[in-house]
Amino acid sequence: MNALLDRRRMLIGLLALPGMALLARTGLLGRYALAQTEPLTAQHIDTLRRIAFLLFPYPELGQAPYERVAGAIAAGAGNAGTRALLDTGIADLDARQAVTWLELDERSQVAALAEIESGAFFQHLLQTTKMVLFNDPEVWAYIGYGGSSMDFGGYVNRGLNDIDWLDDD
Amino acid sequence: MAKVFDRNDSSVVVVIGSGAGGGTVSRELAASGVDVVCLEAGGPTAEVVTNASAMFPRLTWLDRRIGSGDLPAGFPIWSGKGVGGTTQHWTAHAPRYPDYQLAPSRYFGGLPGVSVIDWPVPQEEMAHYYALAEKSMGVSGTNGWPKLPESNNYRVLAEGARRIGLTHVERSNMAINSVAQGGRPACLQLGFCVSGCAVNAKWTSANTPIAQALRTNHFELRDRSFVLRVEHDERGRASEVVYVDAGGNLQRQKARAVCMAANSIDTPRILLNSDSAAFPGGLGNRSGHIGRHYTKHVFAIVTAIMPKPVHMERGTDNLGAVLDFIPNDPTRGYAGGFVFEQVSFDPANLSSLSRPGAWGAEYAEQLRRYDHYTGLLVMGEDPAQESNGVTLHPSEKDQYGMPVPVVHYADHDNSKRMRSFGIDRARELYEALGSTEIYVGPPPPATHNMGTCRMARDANDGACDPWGRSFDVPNLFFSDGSPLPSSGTSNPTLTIVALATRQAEHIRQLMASKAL
Ligand SMILES: Cc1cc2nc3c(=O)[nH]c(=O)nc-3n(C[C@H](O)[C@H](O)[C@H](O)COP(=O)(O)OP(=O)(O)OC[C@H]3O[C@@H](n4cnc5c(N)ncnc54)[C@H](O)[C@@H]3O)c2cc1C
Ligand code: SF4
Repeated sequence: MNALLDRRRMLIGLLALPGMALLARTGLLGRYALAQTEPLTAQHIDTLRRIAFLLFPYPELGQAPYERVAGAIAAGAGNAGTRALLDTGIADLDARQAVTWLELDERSQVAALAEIESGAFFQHLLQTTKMVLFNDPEVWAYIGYGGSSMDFGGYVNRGLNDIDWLDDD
Repeated sequence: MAKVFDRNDSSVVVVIGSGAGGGTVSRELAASGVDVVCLEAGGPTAEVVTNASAMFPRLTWLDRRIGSGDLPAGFPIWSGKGVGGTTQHWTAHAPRYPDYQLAPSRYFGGLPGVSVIDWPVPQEEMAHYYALAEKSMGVSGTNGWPKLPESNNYRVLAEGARRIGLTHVERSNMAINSVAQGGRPACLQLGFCVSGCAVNAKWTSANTPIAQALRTNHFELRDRSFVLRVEHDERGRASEVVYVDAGGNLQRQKARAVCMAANSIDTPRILLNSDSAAFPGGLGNRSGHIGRHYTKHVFAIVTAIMPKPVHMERGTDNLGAVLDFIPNDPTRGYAGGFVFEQVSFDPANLSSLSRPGAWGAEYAEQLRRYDHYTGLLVMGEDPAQESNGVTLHPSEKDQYGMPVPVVHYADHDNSKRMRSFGIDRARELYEALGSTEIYVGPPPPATHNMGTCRMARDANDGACDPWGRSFDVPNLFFSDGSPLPSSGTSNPTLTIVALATRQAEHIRQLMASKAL
């Protein structure tokens, strides 16, 4: 693994725009050619989906948005450095107890994630989950983000100035 | 047919960069009949879709830069790459500098360790060129154009300010059309200004000065042309610009004069990379000021969850400003001033900028109330310090083989005190609105970059004269944010455009008198 890239990922993993810059460089947001590698196993993808859910759990949304996050993370794994990060990260999570991480109960899963939260693997998943989950139209609708208003002619005549609680006291 | 100039044509002015300054100086010169070749590192202006994360990699400069000091290490600067430069990203807040901020030594002069100088341009002259810039950019709130309308997010800021006794709250002058003008439509309040305006209501260098320059018969825009060096002749005049073209080939363009407009990071980077026997420290750097005195504003991002919905995403990102803290008042515990600027974020950016390291059920529940969030920037004046600036990495190179820039910026103690004072007032403002969930974000990458080739009356104090002309190389000019000697409390771009307009007039006079 490229040690420099990895160290950089740790240093910048805490910031939004740097996170975006990293994702663009590693191909998640950009249109970079991806190297051919073995696809991630179903178990890996399931682990990634579950981690994404526990990072920002919205049970009412079902699993579909989190599957899309896992898919995006898996797509980024065409990059050799990212792939190694995922493989070792998941292996490490699974090696912390007698059963795999997926087999733990929810509280233990969250506790295990909290233990690794300063590491590069976790930070990569946190950044990517934020960028993918909070760019998902289904999530937007759920959290009350209007998104692009282009098709409606903008917000100029559509709630730009409809706030009604500022004179409450 | 677009104009094409020969690379051996030494009568052209070469402009490096097509952002705010480069676009303006190109248009001003070409419109008066001076032949101009503009070399732009990035590609043609990207088509805009209203999705922030999709636009980010299309508009942003992602080539490696290294941050040190108080800047994010892996991504210290947020700037643009491509025709239009960073004006594709900008939110178009377009205030003038208050008059007295052209003389910052009056309030910063006593601070330890600073290298503050006053502006070498008289205030009346700035006023004249500000007026020209506002006209050419179509700044709403000037020239009879109405201001943009109030939005929910604006009203939250204004009401919070009122409740804590502040009185100077306004909708700013914005380089966004409130009514159709300049061949561009009125703002639809899409709220995607940072990601490029899909309808071109927002002024950009690409949709106005570059487009205007292209309509003259005196302008060639060469995009995907990455400049490595500026070379000089035996008389010490800039004579050739060396660049990598779209096909990856090394090219040379001869020049009558060169205007540096690659922004405050890459302008000094190119010149430091242009060292020679005559200029061992880099072209135009005999005085050692190239790459120093970097300022970027004191910044803090404050977000808060309101008791009821706001919908901050509706409308221009950056309309409102609170001006009460601009005047210098040392009893506050720091020198200089700051403003609050209204800001909004899409959910993805909000999730990282509000509480960067947070995750789990509690934070998810907060973000579920996206429509309740509001935000502001604390944005203050930072004093110039000689040690803040741009150097070349001794060994690391970019994809063109050019040394990677290292950008160093350390907060002055004064800036730290100013920031914490501003954050405390922001908390009070939001508490007055009933918020109990108020967060200060991480130090963001710098978006306002100034001062790295600053202008001065005297060569001992800066890299260029009051018209942005190099003290050492008589046909080398600084046309972007790099000649600004101080940051003031104002967003810099209106000032960059005003100075570039003034500089172009000066270049024409020098040419007319055969001095160039
Ligand atoms: C998100 C965001 C919001 C902003 N909002 C505001 C605002 O509200 N108000 C305000 O006043 N300012 C704002 N700014 C700042 C504003 O965009 C800049 O001040 C302005 O664009 C700087 O102009 P410039 O000419 O110095 O450089 P730029 O606009 O950055 O242009 C420089 C150009 O040079 C090119 N270049 C660089 N190196 C080379 C090379 N080696 N060869 C060839 N070309 C090269 C770049 O690709 C770029 O196109 C904002 C910036 C950002 C990122
Ligand atoms: S808010 Fe106005 S200026 Fe900004 S992107 Fe939308 S239409 Fe363009």
